[in-house]
Amino acid sequence: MRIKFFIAGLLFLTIVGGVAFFKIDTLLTTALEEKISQITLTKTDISNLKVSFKNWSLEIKKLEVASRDDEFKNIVELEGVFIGFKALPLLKKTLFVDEFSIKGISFGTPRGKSGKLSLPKKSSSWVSEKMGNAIDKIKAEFVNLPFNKFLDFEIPSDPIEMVNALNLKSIDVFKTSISNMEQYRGDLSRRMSELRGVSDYDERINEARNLAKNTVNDPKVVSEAVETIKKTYEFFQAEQRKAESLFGDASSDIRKAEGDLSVATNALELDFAAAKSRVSLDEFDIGNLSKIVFGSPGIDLAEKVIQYHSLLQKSLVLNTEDGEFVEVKKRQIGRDIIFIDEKAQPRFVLENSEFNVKSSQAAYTIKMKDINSAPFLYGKPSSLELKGSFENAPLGSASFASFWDYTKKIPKDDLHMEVDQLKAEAWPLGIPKIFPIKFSQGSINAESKLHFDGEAMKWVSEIFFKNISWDFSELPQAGLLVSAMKDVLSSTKYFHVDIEMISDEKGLQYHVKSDLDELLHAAIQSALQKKIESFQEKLHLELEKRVSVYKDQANKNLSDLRLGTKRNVEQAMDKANQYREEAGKLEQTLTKRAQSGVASIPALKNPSNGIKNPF
Amino acid sequence: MPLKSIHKIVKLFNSEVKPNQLAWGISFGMMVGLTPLLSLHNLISLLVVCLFRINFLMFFLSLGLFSVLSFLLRPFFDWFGYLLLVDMTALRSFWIFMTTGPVVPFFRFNNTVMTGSFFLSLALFFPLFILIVKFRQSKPLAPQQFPEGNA
Repeated sequence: MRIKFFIAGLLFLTIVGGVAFFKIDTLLTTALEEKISQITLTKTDISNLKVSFKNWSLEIKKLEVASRDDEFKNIVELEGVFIGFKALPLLKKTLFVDEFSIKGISFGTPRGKSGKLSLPKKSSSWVSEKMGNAIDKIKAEFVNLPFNKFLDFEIPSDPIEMVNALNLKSIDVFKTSISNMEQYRGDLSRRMSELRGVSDYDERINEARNLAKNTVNDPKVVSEAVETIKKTYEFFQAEQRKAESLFGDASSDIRKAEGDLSVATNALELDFAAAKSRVSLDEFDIGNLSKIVFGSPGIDLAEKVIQYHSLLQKSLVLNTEDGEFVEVKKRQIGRDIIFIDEKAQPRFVLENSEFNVKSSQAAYTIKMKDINSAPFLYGKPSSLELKGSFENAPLGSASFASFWDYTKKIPKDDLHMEVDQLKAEAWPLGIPKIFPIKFSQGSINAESKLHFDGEAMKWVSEIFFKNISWDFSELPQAGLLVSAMKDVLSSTKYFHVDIEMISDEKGLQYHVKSDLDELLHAAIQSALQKKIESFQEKLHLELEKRVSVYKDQANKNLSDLRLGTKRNVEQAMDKANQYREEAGKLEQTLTKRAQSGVASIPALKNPSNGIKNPF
Repeated sequence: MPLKSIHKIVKLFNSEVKPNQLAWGISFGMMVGLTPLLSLHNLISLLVVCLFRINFLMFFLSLGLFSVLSFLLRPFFDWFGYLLLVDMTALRSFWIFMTTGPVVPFFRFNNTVMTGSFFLSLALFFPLFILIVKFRQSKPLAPQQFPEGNA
């Protein structure tokens, strides 16, 4: 036994332990500051932390959490924080807080030192990928709104100038259709010349008729006449076939020409639509302009709340596979295994706490129940309530109630917030740099309810604005739309806005509605819609005028094709058919006559001497 | 004075050179080296090394060597720890006690690397000890190599 070394070692450890014990305040201050900073991503400063092992308590004189948006401001400053804890649970590595109070709470206090931390900034990947993408998509909608057009919107006076500025495609399309039609007509005319013509048909059929009529009862003459008529029949048959083929081609060409004309007409419609869009309100959702006024700051705020909520949920919700009784948490070295068992307890528990904080400017009531670090082990849902009333502050009173049940696999949250007599100047609105409008006076009462059920979320906020004055001083000199909006807003003192955000299996929906919408819509309609429609009519006329020459020509060409070329072919076809049938009948008549004639001539009944009976 | 102190330290490091004293030093060094350094069981190991006649030099050499090795073996420790803590369900009630009972949670046996490395070093502890003793006995030190007073 080396008792000397053992005693020396023990002494050394005692000294180290003693130093740690006496320096526990400093060590704990650093550890707490780091832990809170990891959550808030900003600097946390703790002054005068004291641990008492006599009373088993911890006291903090001042705790400052820097703001993420302004490095020289604190988001919150707590004074006189008192935490009383039980000794025995410490042996099980559990901090069981049985008393908790705060003497003073201040928000937005100035900081002497910068509160910026060089920690990696967490992106929207805090939230689920689906939610992150959905929020980014909604934010992009605001960025991609045609604000420049919105701000500069004017109704032009000269339709000629506007049509000149347009690159009219319909004219080219009409020209092409005209040229195509002319080509079809040329081709058909050339092929028409291959037909012998109606006068020629008449001549041929008259010849056949004469032959049938005037042929004497001489077998030889009859035979020759029959041959001639037969040739006439074959002639008409050939002509009919040619005319039918030509008719088919003409019909096809007419269909093509009609198609060309339809394309040209569509091109004209597109040109008109392009012209119309230059003087149109269609691209602006004038029925929901409150979304432009209140939507952008709303989504920014919502993103922050969802991010913090997601962070809280991720750190507290049980993350196990179905049927597993362990949770695995990745650590810097290895993985920590948490056993889901009734004996297991959270590392931190604050069972119940209710206290009031009063200062010259504010009074708060805070209630906390079953706050803990592992709800699935603790088995009870948690709640936090905070009520505050303020004097000489931008806010009259506020209340916040939060209830979260993370004891089961699917976490549920209910958050309820009410704000009364909030100074309107503090309310963010518009879109910075793009649509910078503000409130200069007024007050706001608002109520917001947020409910999470697993991945599904429903967030409904109602905001009531009273005695509002608007500040358009930063808005650049803008066009008719904005000036119509300004007129309406300036005269509207009382209104309300509903903001709704729903995330379900369909995705994320974001709606902003207000009774301002109807007023703005009506004002813009009355001020601009008639003028716009009148100018669009002028624009239509001007466009029709420009294209009319080509349009008329194309219609004329189509008409020529239909009435001229096609009709000629049709006529030739009908004639050839009619004469072919007639020639066939003449041939039959003559053949019968020849047969009856032959029967009456005995010599021809038994032809001899080399005379051949033609029948 | 400093020379005298250095001489004492050198003497201390060269004391306790019997095979089992050397073997204890190496085995304890292996245990402390393989497991995460700042842990409660290592504090106890250190006190044991101080209390009993164990060779310090071998202890620290072994600690250094196995510390380097532990970095390379960390993924294996993680796997082995997970196997013990999660996959071997028969041990579940033991682990629940080790993570919820009084004081024992401070040993951090809910961590895969800690558990894996500790139990692996525990398993190697006595085989290594026996191996070193046997090896030392098969190759004893020459009489002149024994420091004065310990021969």
